[in-house]
Amino acid sequence: MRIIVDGTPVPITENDSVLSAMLKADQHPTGGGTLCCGGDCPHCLATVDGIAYVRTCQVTPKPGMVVERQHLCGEYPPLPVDDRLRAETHAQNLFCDVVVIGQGESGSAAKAEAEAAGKSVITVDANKGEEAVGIYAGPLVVARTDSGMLHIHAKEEVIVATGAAELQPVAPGSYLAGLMTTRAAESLAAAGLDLGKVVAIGTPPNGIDHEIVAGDIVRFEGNSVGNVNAVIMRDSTGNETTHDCDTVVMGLGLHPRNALHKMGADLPVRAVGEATIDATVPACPTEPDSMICACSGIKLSDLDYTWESGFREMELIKRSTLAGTGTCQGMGCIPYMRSFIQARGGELQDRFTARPVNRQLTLGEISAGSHHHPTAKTALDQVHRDLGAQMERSGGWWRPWNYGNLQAEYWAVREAVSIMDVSTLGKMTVTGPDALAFLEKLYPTKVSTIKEGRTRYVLLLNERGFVMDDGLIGKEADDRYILTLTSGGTSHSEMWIRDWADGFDMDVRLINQTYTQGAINVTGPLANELLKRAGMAEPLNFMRFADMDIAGVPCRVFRLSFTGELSYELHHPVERSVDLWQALMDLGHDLGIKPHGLEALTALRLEKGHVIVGQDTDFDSTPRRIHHEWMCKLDKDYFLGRASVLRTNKIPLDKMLVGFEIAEGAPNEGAIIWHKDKNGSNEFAGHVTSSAWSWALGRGVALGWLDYFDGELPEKVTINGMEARRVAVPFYDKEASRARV
Amino acid sequence: MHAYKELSFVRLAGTRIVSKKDVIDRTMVNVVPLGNESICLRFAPDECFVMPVLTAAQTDAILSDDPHAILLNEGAFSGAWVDETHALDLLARLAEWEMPSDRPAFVQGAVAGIATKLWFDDALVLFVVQTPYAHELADRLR
Repeated sequence: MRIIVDGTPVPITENDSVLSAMLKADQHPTGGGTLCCGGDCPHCLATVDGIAYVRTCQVTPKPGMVVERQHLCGEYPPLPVDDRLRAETHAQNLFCDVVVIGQGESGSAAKAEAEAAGKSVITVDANKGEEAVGIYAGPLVVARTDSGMLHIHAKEEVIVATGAAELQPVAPGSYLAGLMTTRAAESLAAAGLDLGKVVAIGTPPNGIDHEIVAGDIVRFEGNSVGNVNAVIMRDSTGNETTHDCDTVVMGLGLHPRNALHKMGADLPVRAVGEATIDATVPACPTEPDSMICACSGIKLSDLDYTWESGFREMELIKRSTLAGTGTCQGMGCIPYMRSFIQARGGELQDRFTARPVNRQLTLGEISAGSHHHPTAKTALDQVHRDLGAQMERSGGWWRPWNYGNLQAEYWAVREAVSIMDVSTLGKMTVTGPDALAFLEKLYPTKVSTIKEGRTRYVLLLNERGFVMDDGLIGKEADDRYILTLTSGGTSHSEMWIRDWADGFDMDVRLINQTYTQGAINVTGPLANELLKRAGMAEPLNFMRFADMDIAGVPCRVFRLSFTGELSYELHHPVERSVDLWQALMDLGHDLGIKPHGLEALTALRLEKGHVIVGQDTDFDSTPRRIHHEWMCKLDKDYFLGRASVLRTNKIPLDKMLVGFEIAEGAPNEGAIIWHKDKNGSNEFAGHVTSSAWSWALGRGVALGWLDYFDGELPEKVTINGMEARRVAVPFYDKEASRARV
Repeated sequence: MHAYKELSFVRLAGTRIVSKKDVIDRTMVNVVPLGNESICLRFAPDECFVMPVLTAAQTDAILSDDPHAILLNEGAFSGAWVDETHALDLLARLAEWEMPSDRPAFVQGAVAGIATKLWFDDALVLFVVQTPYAHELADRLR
């Protein structure tokens, strides 16, 4: 059985890791550095089966596995250049009382203890291919495996038994091949690697013939191909000795693998065993070129420069130099950063903060279990698509942007009749003994003056008096009202309304019918004729509503207008949407009926100067700033936001939402509005919120936020290099004669 | 790796009831007790969804208890029945919360990032989702 290393077959045996197989074939994964075989160092990284930053010491080889040595001499692997779709990485959710990370001696004991206490236990063991990479609030342990991610939810606690790592040497020549820690040497020898002549420093390896040498490491020396062939040691008297060798094995001390424990500092997470030991603090290196952090290429001289610049804490030195932020996340350099700070400042500082994740993951592994926000479809979605609509996401819904002929859609509304799917509008019903009292507190209008069967356009304000939504209130009965809300704002507004029903302790019942009731807007000068054919006996008066059958579908019919033309909204059971739509299209065929999408609506409503909350308004839009102060009945004793409206009304206006006409065309939405100051220089004056070309008027129309200058709003401004003139809205049919016909 | 056929969601016929908590409590005990082929899902203290659609007598009983109650014959929810083993396998991947062990049981939360209600019967699980999101949930439950 063989794996493929840089295109060359390499034999593997049962005891091999990918690393040991490569070393037997004289293929050091990164070219050199002190190997640890514990997943702590960056010296065995390779790209395995297309995945970069894989620790080859942790991977069991499989026949045909493709290994690429792309990390040689500390180089980063190239970015992937293929666009192959990889299999989705799944997350498996597991639940238990206790999670134990690590199954060495202390981890096994912790597991046994928890189970003896009647706890359900899940273990995560890197030696079995389960690598814990992070601990999150919950606590939630995230672990990667070859078959996907594990999300393990602990009800009680997480026990970290990850053991300790061996110190890496920091000395000239530490990049050579043939250097390894004591545990690594034992592991690799057991896998059958011939270590040749071994020199051991510090704790010696078991079961390996070696020469023990004492003293401080001065440097490693190597041959022309980068393999170590000698280590130079200095004894306490200063004498240096040279020890020829093929392998240097070092047991320089331990420091705890406590990153996972540190991640859970504020969570029920505790460490046991070697993960809690006091770390060995090595002597601070003295050679300026000593490589402290092999991952980020940080030398002693870099630390000194940072120190002299005033950064003298672990966290700051990490941020300044990036030492500890690389592949091994500080497992190589933290001991030396601590000894450096101690040597320079006399204080032994703790390791720096640990945050998830502490291992390199693929994007698939990171995103496992995550999902993008879903986009809703109305009951008419397939109808729109069958009509060739270009669908867009808007307000959390898939909506038709146009049906392929924008002008035809626009003129159908202005000159004939058109229908639009407005099922996305928020719809709620409020009933109960306190229904009226509740709505009086919620809305700035006088709800008590709305008569049965009538509706009123209203704003919903927050406590600060800023506009958060708009819609209609309709009165069904003294104790029963209907509300409409914007498509994109419904979810938030519903929660807001429910919260205040509780907050005001109101005896009301609330139901959101947005998904229950479909809605179709019928608009245009021939709307009455169409609806007469569909069964409407008499046209409704403006801002009235009534229940009736339209084309055999039970509807609540609202007379209103957003397009500026004669309009009705037909609210109906959502399961009848397709029937109603098709009937209207059939009945209106000879009237020139066409459906219109959001693109046409943008121009139609803009010509009327109608505001879309969330598009034209901002987080600080008061009713006065959008010319809607008339909707706030300040003679009411109370409504949400009243105190703020009273207060802000006393403050001079600094900006307003205003209308612009532009002869040359429609500016971009979001475009900056420029105003010429007294010296003729352009000053920022605001931005465009909505813009469209008006076919009816033959010019561009826009809404935008405009700043005051010396107490005045500029009359002329420049947008997208075009002259724009501030005008009063509406732009079209200022007398509203078409909508109220 | 997991690979399932897409679930087929269909509109559920039922009645949504919004009323005071104690009225819903009584409704679940007296008007639509479990069994008799009816299922009552308690969405919230003040709201439940009953399948199939309530009879006139049941509606009258609730309205006599609370004249302000809102009763709607609903088309807003879609559902798909799934055998329990399959369902639990899907949910282990797609729900970051623990499923109940009692039967029957009703729970609700995010499944694959979509607000979902789950009714655990003897050996079947009913996935309930608001119809506008049924296509997304079906796609994500594969």
